[in-house]
Amino acid sequence: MNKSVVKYLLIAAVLISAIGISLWLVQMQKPVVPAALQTMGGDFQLESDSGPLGLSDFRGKTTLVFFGYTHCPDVCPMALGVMVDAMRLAGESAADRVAGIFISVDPQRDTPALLGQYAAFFDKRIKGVTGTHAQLGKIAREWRVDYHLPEDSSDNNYAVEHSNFIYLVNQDGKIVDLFDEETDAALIADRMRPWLR
Amino acid sequence: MKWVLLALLILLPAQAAYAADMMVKDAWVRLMPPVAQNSAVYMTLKNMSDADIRIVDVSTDAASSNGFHTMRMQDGKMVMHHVDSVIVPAQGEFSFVPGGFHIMLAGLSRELHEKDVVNVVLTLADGGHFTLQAVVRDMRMGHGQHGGMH
Repeated sequence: MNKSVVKYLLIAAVLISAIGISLWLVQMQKPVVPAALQTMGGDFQLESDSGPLGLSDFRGKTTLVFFGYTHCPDVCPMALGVMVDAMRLAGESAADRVAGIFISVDPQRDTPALLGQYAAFFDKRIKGVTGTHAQLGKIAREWRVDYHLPEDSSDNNYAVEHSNFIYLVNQDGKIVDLFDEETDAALIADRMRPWLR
Repeated sequence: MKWVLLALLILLPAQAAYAADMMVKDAWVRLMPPVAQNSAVYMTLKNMSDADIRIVDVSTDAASSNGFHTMRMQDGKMVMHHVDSVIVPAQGEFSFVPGGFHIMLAGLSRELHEKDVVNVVLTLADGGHFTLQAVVRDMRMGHGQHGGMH
């Protein structure tokens, strides 16, 4: 074997090791996901203003998910505001790799068309979706969301009780972190960054 | 509703004896998406007298129904409770803040835009009225949820 071949083999070996170590380091930087979160979540198919939309449509994006309803005057707009701030703070370079989903648990009043307009007001990257009570019930169980609609909804201004989690979902559709509407947007952005790499 | 509000505004000077002890700081309304039916008013009320001031009712010129609400965690859910009255303690303050107490604007009667003014009339337990103006604030562009009170 001549010297130049040995030299190239050595360079190749060094390069491969360097790439391997880099990949390993990147992997190591991914935060540990608490066991409780690993059993939560899962894919879903709901209805948006532009047709069926599922969590799988957000593969490759780091996504914030919130369950609420549009008649909610306080907590829901707070949560959406925090989500938008966090998405912006996550950085300009990640702008097209972050997204949001607002899932309405109040399909009686929140149509997909209305939800589309509602969510876009906060940020075009946030999609508003809803579905049937059966679909929403199944997602709520899988995502450990608790919500309660009043028995009597004849008064059109009824309130809906609901969990106030903001979920951080990684590019593979897995829940990796949990916040709420009181969480500082800068903290959410910090927690999003490792998943954006 | 509008006539009632106008009447209240006219009557205000004559009934301001008790209300004169109160001051309002930073009253604002959350700008909501145009399709939204509801919004909320936030503010801090300061009582400069030596007696508690109880507020028993509220009306506005922006919604068909108004009331005092508070948010509370109950069994893991955010539950909105209606409260009949709020008390501004003697020589103290009472704050309506996001995530805490708010004045609910249920069934907005007009589309609100940033910097619009909403007239608010608080009815005190002694029958007096306290009027104030709350400005519509757009909270989207990095104003932050907690920025409202600073």
